[in-house]
Amino acid sequence: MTPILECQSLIKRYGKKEALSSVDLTVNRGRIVGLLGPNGSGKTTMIKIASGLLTATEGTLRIDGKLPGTETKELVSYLPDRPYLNDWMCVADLLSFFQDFYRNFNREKAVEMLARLNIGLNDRLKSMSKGTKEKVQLILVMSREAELYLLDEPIGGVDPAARDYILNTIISNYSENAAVLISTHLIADVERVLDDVIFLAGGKVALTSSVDQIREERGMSVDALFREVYKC
Amino acid sequence: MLRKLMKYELKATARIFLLLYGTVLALGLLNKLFFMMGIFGGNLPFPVELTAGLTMMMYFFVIGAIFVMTLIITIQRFYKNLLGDEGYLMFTLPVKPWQHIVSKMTVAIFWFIVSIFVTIFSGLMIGISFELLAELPDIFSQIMGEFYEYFSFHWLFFFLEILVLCLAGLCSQILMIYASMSAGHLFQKHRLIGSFASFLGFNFVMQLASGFFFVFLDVIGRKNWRLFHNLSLFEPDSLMPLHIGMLILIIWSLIICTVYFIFTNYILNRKLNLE
Repeated sequence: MTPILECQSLIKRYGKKEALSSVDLTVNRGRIVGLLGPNGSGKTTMIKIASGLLTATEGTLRIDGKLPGTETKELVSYLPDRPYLNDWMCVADLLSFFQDFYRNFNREKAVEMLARLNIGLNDRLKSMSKGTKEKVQLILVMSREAELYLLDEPIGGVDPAARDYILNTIISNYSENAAVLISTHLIADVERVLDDVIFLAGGKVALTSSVDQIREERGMSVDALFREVYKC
Repeated sequence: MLRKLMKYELKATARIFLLLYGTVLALGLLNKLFFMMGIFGGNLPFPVELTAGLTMMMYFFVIGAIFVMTLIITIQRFYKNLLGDEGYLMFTLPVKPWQHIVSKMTVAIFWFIVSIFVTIFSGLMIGISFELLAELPDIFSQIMGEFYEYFSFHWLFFFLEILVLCLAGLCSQILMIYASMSAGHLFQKHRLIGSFASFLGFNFVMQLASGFFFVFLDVIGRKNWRLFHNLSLFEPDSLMPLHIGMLILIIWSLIICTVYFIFTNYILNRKLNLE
């Protein structure tokens, strides 16, 4: 089976600065993978190349064997690290927007999650708090029955109670055929949902491992290992 | 998908335009009322005259604003919705970049045309009586009829040619703006300045290319004048040269459109680098 995400000698330069230096990695279906690393390690750059917002300088990144393009955008559900929704829309408008453009968008699922987090369908984005906006974005992204979820800092701005709900949503929403890639530096919070981890440092892959392996072989949590690897 | 994109583009821009159109029509109506009160008679109290004068000024100001806004929104919808943070949504939709360009351009042209009609209508509303307004379609068809009689089918053709030329010209201007912003977005920093510089650059190159193109045509025309002569296109009262001239202008505009379109599409397709 083709891996859902595969990078080969992937390089991205911004001017002279190298954000990704020859990254090789594979993400298989059915896994929840943590893309971990300090600020500026290349997490966002990699996710943006995978979602087609950035062009790789050299090397290739393939999604289900295909280069990023219209076809892969059907498969990928991407949550950016910033507000990206039109301010003038209300929640119901956004649901229609997603339903119009994504065949795999499950409206009922979204409505259910919104109700659970007490977000009204007629609420306008303009009048929402930053945290609520992030919740809406995440609900929209997770309500797609996609094959690859790319979540860039999904829980950064929301309160701990909502964090739990969101993480549970992530685990319960993806199918065996799909993979989730979560980029974050809030490792302790997401650790319990992860199957594998990829550590990035200075644009290079520093370590790839399954979480079980880390626990068994090193006898430590991912959070503890992270602190050791990236000790300042 | 193209239809859906246009639907949302219209929705996103309609709020602003409908507000502007509403304002201009309301001001037009107010002006009309002042005219009917006989504001130029000089026998109304000063405050009323002052209000009438200000309403007139406001009316022209809003008309100016409509056309400035049409331009600003054309720029802003491309820059913000595609190359800004909202581009994170637009470029992750399973839609091809050319569909973004076409949908944005079509909607921009649509508003430009509607703006012209609203302006004309509001002007007519002020300038002529309601009875005359009702007769307007008749008058228009009468004028058309006279032209038609005089120039026969040439008139219709000429009218169509002007229409197509205006549209092609408008497209080429909009696409030049899009191309400039796409080029500007290739810069690592100072993307706004980059866009502006690209705009000036494109303008310069286009002027130069146009110059060469028409000099080239002139040379061809002179060298082959005998051929054209023998085709008897240039009978003394023939309107053929006019049509040929229009055709050449249209073709040139379409060539420019194509170049800008291909350039913009290439960048959005292959060189996209959202900040």
